[in-house]
Amino acid sequence: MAKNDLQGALDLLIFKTLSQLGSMHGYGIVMHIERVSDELLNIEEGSLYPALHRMEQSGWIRSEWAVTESSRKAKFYTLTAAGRRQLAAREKNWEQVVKGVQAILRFA
Amino acid sequence: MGVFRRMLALGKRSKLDREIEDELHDHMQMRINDNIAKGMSSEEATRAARLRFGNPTVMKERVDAEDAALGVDSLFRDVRYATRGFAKSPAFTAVAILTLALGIGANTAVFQLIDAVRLRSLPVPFRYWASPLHRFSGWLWERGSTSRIQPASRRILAARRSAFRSWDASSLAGTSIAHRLTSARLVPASSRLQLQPNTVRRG
Repeated sequence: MAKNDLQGALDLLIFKTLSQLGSMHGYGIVMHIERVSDELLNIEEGSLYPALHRMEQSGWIRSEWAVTESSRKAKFYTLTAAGRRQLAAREKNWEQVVKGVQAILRFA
Repeated sequence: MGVFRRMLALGKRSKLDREIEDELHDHMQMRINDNIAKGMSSEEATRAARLRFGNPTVMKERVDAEDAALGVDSLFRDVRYATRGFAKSPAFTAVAILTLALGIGANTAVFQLIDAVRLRSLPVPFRYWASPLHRFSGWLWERGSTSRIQPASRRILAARRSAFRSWDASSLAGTSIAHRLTSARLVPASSRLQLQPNTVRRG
């Protein structure tokens, strides 16, 4: 049974973004998701930061303060080993959700 | 380790709060800068960023709540993990439980013994209150057939009235007392000492 709430989707997007970018701050994650999805997906800050902190508490990502390319300090998040395992599991899970939803939509 | 980290985090609460604030503030600044780069005026850029961001206090509280809620959540997870660990190595678990049980049991037994023998032997605030009467009890009453309290004893008792708070010296003040006491012993009664006659004969 796939866990298919919206929160799972947001976590997955954050996981994937961090695995693609290596290390990024919250704003960068929002921008990356917007850009890559051609602005189809818009992550609200109000959901992003609680999610980031929850994931950090779970030990899936870790954070450290660093300086951005525009020499502004920001909190950068990186995937941990446990986070990478989570990503793999969540990705698989997501594919099942999509398959399930597709099956429902195509049912006639 | 999770519990330890959370305990540390508890101590660093204010630091953590400031970090969340800083993080959200930095995020907003980056948004404002980008807005300006897109051609907005500085006021417009700030306003747009604020609108998008929402109430920063509410957001900070939500991030905070996420940290706290998860603290409890992962505490349960730690407990579950510990239980699984115990189930996996029953021999270790048995030895640990037995050691704890014996330790706690022995401790309790020793304390109860000391408590009964030393700490609770007399229910008076200070033990020395009792000792003078013990010492005097031998000659408090004239031995033999007489029912009178020796005058010297009466004086001593009167002088020590303050020590024996509930001592009713008046009952002993007369030249004769109602009951003939051949001997008496000290009996601790709830919060005071009582002289209890061993043998009571109607005078």
